[in-house]
Amino acid sequence: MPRRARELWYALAAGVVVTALYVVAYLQAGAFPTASSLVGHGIGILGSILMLMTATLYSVRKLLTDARWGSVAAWLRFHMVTGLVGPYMVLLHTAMKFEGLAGLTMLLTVIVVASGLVGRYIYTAVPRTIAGVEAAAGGPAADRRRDKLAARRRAAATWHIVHVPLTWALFAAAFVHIVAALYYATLQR
Amino acid sequence: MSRRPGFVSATGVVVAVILLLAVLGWTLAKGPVLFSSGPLNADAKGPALGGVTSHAELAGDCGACHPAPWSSRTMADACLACHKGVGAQIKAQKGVHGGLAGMRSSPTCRGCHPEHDGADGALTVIDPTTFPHDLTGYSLRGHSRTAKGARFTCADCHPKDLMSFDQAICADCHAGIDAGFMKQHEATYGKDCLPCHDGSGRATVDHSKFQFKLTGKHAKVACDKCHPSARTLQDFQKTPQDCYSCHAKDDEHQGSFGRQCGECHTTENWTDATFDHAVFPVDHGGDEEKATCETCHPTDVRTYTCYGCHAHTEGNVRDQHEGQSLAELADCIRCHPGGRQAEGD
Repeated sequence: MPRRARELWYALAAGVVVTALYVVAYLQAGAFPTASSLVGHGIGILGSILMLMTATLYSVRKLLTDARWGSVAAWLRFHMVTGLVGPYMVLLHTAMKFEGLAGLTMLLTVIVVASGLVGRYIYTAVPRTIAGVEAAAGGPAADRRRDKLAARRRAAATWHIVHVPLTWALFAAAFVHIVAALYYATLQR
Repeated sequence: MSRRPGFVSATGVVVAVILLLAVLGWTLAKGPVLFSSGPLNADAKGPALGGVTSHAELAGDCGACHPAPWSSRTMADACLACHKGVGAQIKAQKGVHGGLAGMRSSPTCRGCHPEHDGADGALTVIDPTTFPHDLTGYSLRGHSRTAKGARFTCADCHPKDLMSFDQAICADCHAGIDAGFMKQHEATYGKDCLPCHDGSGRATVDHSKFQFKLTGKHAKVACDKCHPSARTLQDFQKTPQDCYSCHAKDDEHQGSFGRQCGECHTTENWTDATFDHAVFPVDHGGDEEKATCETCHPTDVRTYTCYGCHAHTEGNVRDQHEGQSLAELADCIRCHPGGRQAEGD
């Protein structure tokens, strides 16, 4: 378990603010604000923007060598915060209806976020143990730890294969969903 | 920077393309069902319209309501293709739908009638604060909050369905607010609320519907001044319409000018009586003494005499008219219209 998890606190704080505003809207409407209402649309748009930012900005930062853009660790935290708050806002946007392509888009979002959380756990666990095991002496206990470590490294790699490609599928589905929703729910009279 | 960003992934592109093709294939095969946001209403209580008794029966046929992007048909056209009764209302500019369609920015069907909210979803969702209830002939200005301060809902007055209204429900609430007043009010005016109450907050009657038109000062009079102790609709209808029934006490002429008050008086102003005295010039006579009504009509306006002025005495009239008795000379203007010389003089 990571010793410092600032990003989780930031995400929680942002989540609380979003929830409070949403509850106000819920009480005014007397029900979940529908996905096509002003609140529903707005929260969907904002959540999608956060998800676009999380999918692109951290990766771009890792390419830049200039430290003036902020530390990579800070941008990773940004990626995790937006990657949690954005999907949470999109979940509120659904008004708990998971029909058809919209439901598939939400499912892909959940898988991508879950894979991200798994990757965070494995990713932060592996580096610390590598240094420890390498430096230790031999023996069956050390061998077992090295095997376990190798398995975790493989698991980490798997996570990365799921996380990025499914994000592509997610954005493809989201794009079609947005076009269809705008056509059927907003433009068609 | 020759390295690619982390999100660039060939696998990702492949997965995305597969997903898009799958969505396209599914849509071509089954119609745009993937884009439905929920099941359709399954209420089958009404008559069959367009061959179905509920929207749910249209489930796979998206085109029944959603025209294609390249079509000029609108969703409203689709609704009215089956709901012909509503279309007739709109065409005739009658009823709630006729009124709504005639508004400057008329709402769309879906503005009040959502769908895809499940088999039991509401077919009509109206915000009582924004619905133009005036179109029904009754304003909701006085009915935004109940006596307890809660917001009114449609069901408070329309417990059965939105298209029907039973005014017995008015008394249910209002007797709860002030039972004593309601008892007296119903005793005085009857139980038919709507002829007088249009929801604007003032009891008004469209008196122009009735035989007696309220013009001038009559329009400002309180109802019970002309309809004292009216208890039923029949009492109102039996109200006399002649002037004297109400204005006998105002008659300064004490009946001497007859009871056709309207010949001289109008509803604009009781004191400005005018009379078109075309039959005889009222400025008849000299400047020494202006003639008043009483000069020629000493008793009542139905009779007159020319003997009121010194110029005309019984003596000199008889002298002027040899061979005729005074009795025959009573109606002077028969031969002297306008007070002129008679022909042949």
